[in-house]
Amino acid sequence: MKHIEEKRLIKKCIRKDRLAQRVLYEQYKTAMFSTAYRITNDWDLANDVLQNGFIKVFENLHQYKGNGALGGWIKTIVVRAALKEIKGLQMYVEVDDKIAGDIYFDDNLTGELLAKIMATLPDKCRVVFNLIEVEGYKQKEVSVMLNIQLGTVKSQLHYAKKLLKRKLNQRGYERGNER
Amino acid sequence: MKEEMKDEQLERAIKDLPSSSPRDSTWDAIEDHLEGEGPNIRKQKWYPFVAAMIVVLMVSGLMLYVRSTKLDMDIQFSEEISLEAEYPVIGFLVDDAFDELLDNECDELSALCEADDFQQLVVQLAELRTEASEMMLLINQAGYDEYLMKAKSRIENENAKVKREIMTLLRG
Repeated sequence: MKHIEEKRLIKKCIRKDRLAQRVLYEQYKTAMFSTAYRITNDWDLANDVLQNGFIKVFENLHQYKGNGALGGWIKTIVVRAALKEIKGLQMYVEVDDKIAGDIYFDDNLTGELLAKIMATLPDKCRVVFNLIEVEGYKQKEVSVMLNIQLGTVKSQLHYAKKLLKRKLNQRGYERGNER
Repeated sequence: MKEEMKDEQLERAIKDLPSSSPRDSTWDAIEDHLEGEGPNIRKQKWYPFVAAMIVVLMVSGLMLYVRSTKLDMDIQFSEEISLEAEYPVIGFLVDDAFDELLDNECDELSALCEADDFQQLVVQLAELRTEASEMMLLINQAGYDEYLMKAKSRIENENAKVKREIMTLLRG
């Protein structure tokens, strides 16, 4: 039923039914804005991204074929719009080779704390971490989206987790990264 | 480097990430952009735009007309234009009786006449008289023109309104 309703809504949006477009926007705005904000780390910029993203959504909705969830399709557009706003994504970041093994976090890590710490990460590794760990894209997909080598994606992700861990430790959370 | 193992605590924290809401005006901006693309099934918002275009065209047309008429004048008439045409130019709106009344009243009510709001009205009256003289010159050059005649009426009405306000102040 939900699928049929969604199809009907999409058809109305394609026909430029403003009310239908508003309904679609309201349905996805919070999730998409949160994504945009986590990537850009700037509230005003995230609003611009959301605006530009949804304009593109409505302009290209006729191209959505229904293979894959509509939310995922919209998110891809919003993510791309957000990535365009991040300058310096081509920066090279060295990874500390002394780090051995995986990095794990303790059970005191809350969503709110994670959000705060993520906001302090450098742009590139924050974006990579967001796209992979939060938004669920595969490393290979992120490599294509950012036009960087897969190895760089892995390095950036590792670096992001290392920084997160370090910042958490500085806040008083003590647990080694060994298991 | 092999893909890192999933961290349960991290996954839990990620699921718990706070969400944020955009500003209310973001939809308005989206809608404004979409409005420019084509017909809207729900509502027509083109009225203000069309009205604005009509006004712009009218004003542009008038300016062109006035300018071209003036140019024609420069070309067609080589003799001096008589200022004693249909409409008197100098002295239009000048009201000697009113001015005399004002002088007399202000001799007695000097404090009132020196007040800022009174002075503003007097200045306004003088400006209207100047504007009126210029308008008359234009009308005499242009000949009868409906728009200019309406402008002349506007000045006359404004002049009468300012005089009434002055009198209201003087009468207390």
